[in-house]
Amino acid sequence: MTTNNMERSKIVEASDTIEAIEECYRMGWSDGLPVVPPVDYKVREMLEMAGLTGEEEIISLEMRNRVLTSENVAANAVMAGCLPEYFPVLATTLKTLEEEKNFVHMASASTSSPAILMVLNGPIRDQIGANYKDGLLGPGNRANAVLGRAIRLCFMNGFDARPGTLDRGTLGNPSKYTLCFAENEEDSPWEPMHVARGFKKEDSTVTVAVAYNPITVNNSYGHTGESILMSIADTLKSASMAFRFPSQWVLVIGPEHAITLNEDGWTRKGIQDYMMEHAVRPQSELIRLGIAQGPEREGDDKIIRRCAQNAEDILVLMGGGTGGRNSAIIDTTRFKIRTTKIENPRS
Amino acid sequence: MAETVTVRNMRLVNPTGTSLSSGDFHLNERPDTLSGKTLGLLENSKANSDKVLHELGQMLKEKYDLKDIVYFNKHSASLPTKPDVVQDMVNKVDILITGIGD
Repeated sequence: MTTNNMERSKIVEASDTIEAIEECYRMGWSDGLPVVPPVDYKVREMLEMAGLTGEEEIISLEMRNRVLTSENVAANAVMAGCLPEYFPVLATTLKTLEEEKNFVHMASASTSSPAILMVLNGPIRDQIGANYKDGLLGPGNRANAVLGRAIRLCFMNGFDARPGTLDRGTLGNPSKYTLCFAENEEDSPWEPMHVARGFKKEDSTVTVAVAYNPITVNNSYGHTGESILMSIADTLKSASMAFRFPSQWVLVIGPEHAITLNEDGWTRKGIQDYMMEHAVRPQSELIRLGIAQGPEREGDDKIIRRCAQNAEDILVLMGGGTGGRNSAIIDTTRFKIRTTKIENPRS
Repeated sequence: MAETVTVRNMRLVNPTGTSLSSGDFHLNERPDTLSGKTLGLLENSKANSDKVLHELGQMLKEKYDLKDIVYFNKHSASLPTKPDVVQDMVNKVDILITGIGD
């Protein structure tokens, strides 16, 4: 399928950029928030920086009969508020999504309303000014806010993934606006997450997953590593989280918690193993809670459902601000988390 | 180049990947009768969807003179129906009912 080369000019009496923003609303191109009008010279600027013509096919969805070209993606990126130097992150994320169509289907149509998670590692973080400290999960940082937004606009505009039509998410999810952040590698007591996943420290990577809203773990009074892990495991095995056992997880350890964990000798592996052992529920409880199908059978209380199939499915990273003792859990479903090297980041 | 919309002197690039002037989907015409038709029922593999659709199928069979009912299912609730299943439905049925939701 090729893009339509027919050029259609629609003259609208508009006074200025504000009117163009309203026109984008009328065209149905918005995610609810005002978008930056995708003026052709800004789209061209983004493509030129990436060395693209605009005709490259970036991502296709056969069942939607849609193909997004690099020009379409750049238009959505401009609308989201992306700078040209963000494009390699978007292109790599969309390439991952092209390879993992299940991510797209889940994040654009599922009744449970999951989002797309993007976690940045390596030099790209500072090159584009991504946030990995205070207010990690938003709001406030341009790169974090607009990268996730651009992906969502690609889904909404590119694949008609809109609420009430092809996006059947019942409650929606604030993370569908954006769920993008970076790891604080410099202050972390553990090696960077992408290094733990087989990349070099100097590689820039984006980790992509299907994800639900982060859940905050407020452990303010437990001043041991074990207390912190106990509260994380307790949150992780709550009814709503246990619904998805076994799944994959991203644990965002806040810096105050990371200091305590490190002082008590907790390694990344140790944290993962703790969750495998303690974030568990017997099948009988899950049935009684209505999050696993019954009927309850004899012996179900002996069947232990663990949070993940393997310890490696629990990703651990450090990020966020100091001054409060918080961490966060992100449920990233059973679809395998992907970490990919970002091609051609600006050096 | 993608289509553009001009707002005064600003040309806005189409972000949708489709023509602005027409959609790519066309609905088939509705049949004027169910009599003699083969009904397909596609369940999405969520709990009890098969039972609900089966019950619906029986009700329709009693009320209308259906030729046959053919059942299909998705391998996963969260993923699209497999292409070979879609083709099978196209080949075998005149009308299709599917359910979404949990």
